[in-house]
Amino acid sequence: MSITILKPGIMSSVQDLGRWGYQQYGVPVGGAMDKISAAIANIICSNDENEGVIELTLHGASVLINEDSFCAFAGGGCKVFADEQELPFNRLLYIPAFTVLQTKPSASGCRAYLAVAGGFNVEKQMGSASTYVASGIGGMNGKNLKTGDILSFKKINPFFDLNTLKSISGNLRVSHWQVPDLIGLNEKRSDIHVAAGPEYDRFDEASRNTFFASTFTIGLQSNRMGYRLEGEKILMKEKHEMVSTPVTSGIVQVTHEGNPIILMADAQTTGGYPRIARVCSADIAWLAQMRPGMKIRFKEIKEEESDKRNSKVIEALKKIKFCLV
Amino acid sequence: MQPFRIYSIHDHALTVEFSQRISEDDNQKVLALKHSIEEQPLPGLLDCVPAYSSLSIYYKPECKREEVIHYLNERIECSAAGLNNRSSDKIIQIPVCYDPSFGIDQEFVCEHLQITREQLIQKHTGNIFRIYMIGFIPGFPYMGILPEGWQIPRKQTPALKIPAGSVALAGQQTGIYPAEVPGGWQVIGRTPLKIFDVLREPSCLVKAGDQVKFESISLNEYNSLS
Repeated sequence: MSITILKPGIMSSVQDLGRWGYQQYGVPVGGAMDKISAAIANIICSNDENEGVIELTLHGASVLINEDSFCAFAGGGCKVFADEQELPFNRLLYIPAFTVLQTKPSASGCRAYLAVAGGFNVEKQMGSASTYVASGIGGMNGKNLKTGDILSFKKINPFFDLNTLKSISGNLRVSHWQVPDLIGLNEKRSDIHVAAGPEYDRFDEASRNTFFASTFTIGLQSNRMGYRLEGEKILMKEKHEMVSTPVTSGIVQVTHEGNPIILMADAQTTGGYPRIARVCSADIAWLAQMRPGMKIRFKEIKEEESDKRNSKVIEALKKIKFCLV
Repeated sequence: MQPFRIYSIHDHALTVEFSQRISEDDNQKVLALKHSIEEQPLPGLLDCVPAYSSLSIYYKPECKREEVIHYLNERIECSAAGLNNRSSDKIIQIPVCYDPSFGIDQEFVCEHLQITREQLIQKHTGNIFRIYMIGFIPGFPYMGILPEGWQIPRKQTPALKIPAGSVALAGQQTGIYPAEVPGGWQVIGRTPLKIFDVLREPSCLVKAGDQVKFESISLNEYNSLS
């Protein structure tokens, strides 16, 4: 069983929930930008949450399903079509052999995750299937997916009962049930919850106020490593030279010119810029679904509230898992 | 008790910061703490990352922050008690070819320090350097401290490509570029060793706390080793 990449789109790669244990050698955690959606796609397919999935950025990809397969899409950023038929996200799908799936523009989100029941047969490197392109680690030979790549499945079709799925068009089938949207993809909001960062007090008061009062635009140079923000400058009380210290996804660091950068999945392991804030980890998935050019605002919350927001998501994931097993 | 501060860098990651400077003593504390954590790992520990004078641990969401802070305090106390009986780490020899065709910034460095090329090589190979941390890109060791009075400015504009294996200087540090990347350090030589190779086990030849001695090799030796 396998799929063939006909068109990779802007940037498609195999990702899981991250590479742990190697940051001491400078190897980033990486993994899916939106780890909640990656986990959901897997849970729908009865896979382990950490199974490798394909991260699709915006639209333009097309994939050939070579054998009858069960799969799922989660996240956002595109609509998925099998010929004229649009396929739903967050449901189990049954796709007959020789179907071509295409991603087309959608109004919301930025990254979709494709999981196949049984999981992709991608060799783990340093304990993870995640692709880290900068160092050529993981995924398909350490690279983004390209035309002609064939990804085989680890297991032959699992145990799903076709009769529990409803037919939508030809032999295409989908589950009656749907996993709820945990990310808040379609909520109208621009607030991103952050707690004060380790160097918060080193910024001058006016800049701290500006940081929370003004709106920032996600810059066009943003990528899997970080989102560069454009807006008012954030300045320190006095120039402060830091020695390199560990950093991770969600850290909001400020360059010497006063521009904030939010570190994302492929964040380097250490950094030397002052850190004004850190994003509540439940909000990182939502941020991963934002596109360059979109506007965000920072909203300060206490550490305890950040914990509460995370617990809610973790509990919700547990419930979904419980319901589907 | 040694002074330190503990803070969150993520909902599930805490940093212990001993200071905000580069000092062998503080780095020793960091590595003693790392050792102590490895001896008695926190259940749910995902990663333990040492830096110059701070260390971060990443843990599973199931762990409670207060309990992890308590665990860290305990580990810090244990590691402080054992600081004096530090083991003598073995010294890793790293062959470096200082041929000017590799060490393209030798001239700049020599002029800046007002020394000859021979003196530069002699000083660089004559010292035993400590690996303070690995960061920037996989396998990039930050080593130091360079001889008294050496303070090497970075390139005005970072080079778009620094070849893999380049041995370079910046500030009071020396480092090795394990892969071809853009960079701002002044390159003085090249090692034929692959410091980081994902296809090899272990992938990284060095770790924080290792002692390093550079050995000068000729262009011929470099070619036969690479």
